[in-house]
Amino acid sequence: MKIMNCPLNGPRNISEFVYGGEVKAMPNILTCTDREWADYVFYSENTIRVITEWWFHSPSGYWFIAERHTATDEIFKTYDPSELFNQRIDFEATSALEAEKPV
Amino acid sequence: MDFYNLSSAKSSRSSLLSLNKVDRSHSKLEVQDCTVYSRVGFRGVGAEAFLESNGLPIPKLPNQSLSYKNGLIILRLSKSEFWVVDTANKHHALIEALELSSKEAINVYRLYCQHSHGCFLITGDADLTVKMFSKVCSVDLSQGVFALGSIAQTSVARTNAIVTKQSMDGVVFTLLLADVASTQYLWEAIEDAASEFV
Repeated sequence: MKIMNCPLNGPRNISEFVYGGEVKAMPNILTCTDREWADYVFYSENTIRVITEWWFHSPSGYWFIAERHTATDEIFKTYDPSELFNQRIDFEATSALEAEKPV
Repeated sequence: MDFYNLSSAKSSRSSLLSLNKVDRSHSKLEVQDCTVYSRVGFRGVGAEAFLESNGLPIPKLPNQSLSYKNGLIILRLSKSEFWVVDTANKHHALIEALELSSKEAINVYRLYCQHSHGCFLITGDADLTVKMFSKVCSVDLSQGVFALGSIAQTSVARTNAIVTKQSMDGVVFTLLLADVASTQYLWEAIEDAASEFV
């Protein structure tokens, strides 16, 4: 079985992990177009290169970031998301509701 | 009632299940079901300070646990996640008080581990415990590697689980916490794995 190195728990069987998609900059939820939001949520480039991805260690409920080559599946680096994200992002529910206008 | 405290349902929990469910008939290892005993979890950047302000000792590093008094185990599951687990069924009042006071604490979020997880306590010969776990868990829990106070968050019998080694009154035990919906399966899996060691 493949082994992945979890930054919190150390080396674990790959079956304990769940893929969470590419790490991408989130567009402004209040100003972006539907296309931009769909790009962010659903689409990926799907190219052969080293990509930065979210991974989830299921037994500990821990999200982290991994750098992996999409062709060789080699994992070069895994690290805590606090290296990239150090601020809590709050969504303002009222503003979001206002943005929901009938089509 | 202003605040419904989940721990206040203790009497309901214990009325449904036997508090003394212990399996020791088929093995030198003893497995005890502590699922109905009280436990609580806290997460958030304020969780460490909150527990310290309530007089509880805190493990220094993630994936470490410590034994406080009379079977009260404190687990640090990540930098900002802590579980307080009663393995002796004596600390319900303390855990209930922690739950209540966390309501006012800033950057402290309750975790519902009372209801999300089952809890087994495994005692017996240390080497046999390690051998039994090696049948169901891929992490090396042998004595030289997995010291007292270590935590492994991994799969046990294909179920997500938290394993820690602790002691009470000089008796070393292994605490196993896993998804509550799988407790019956896991009980039988551990019973089966332990039955080899007669």
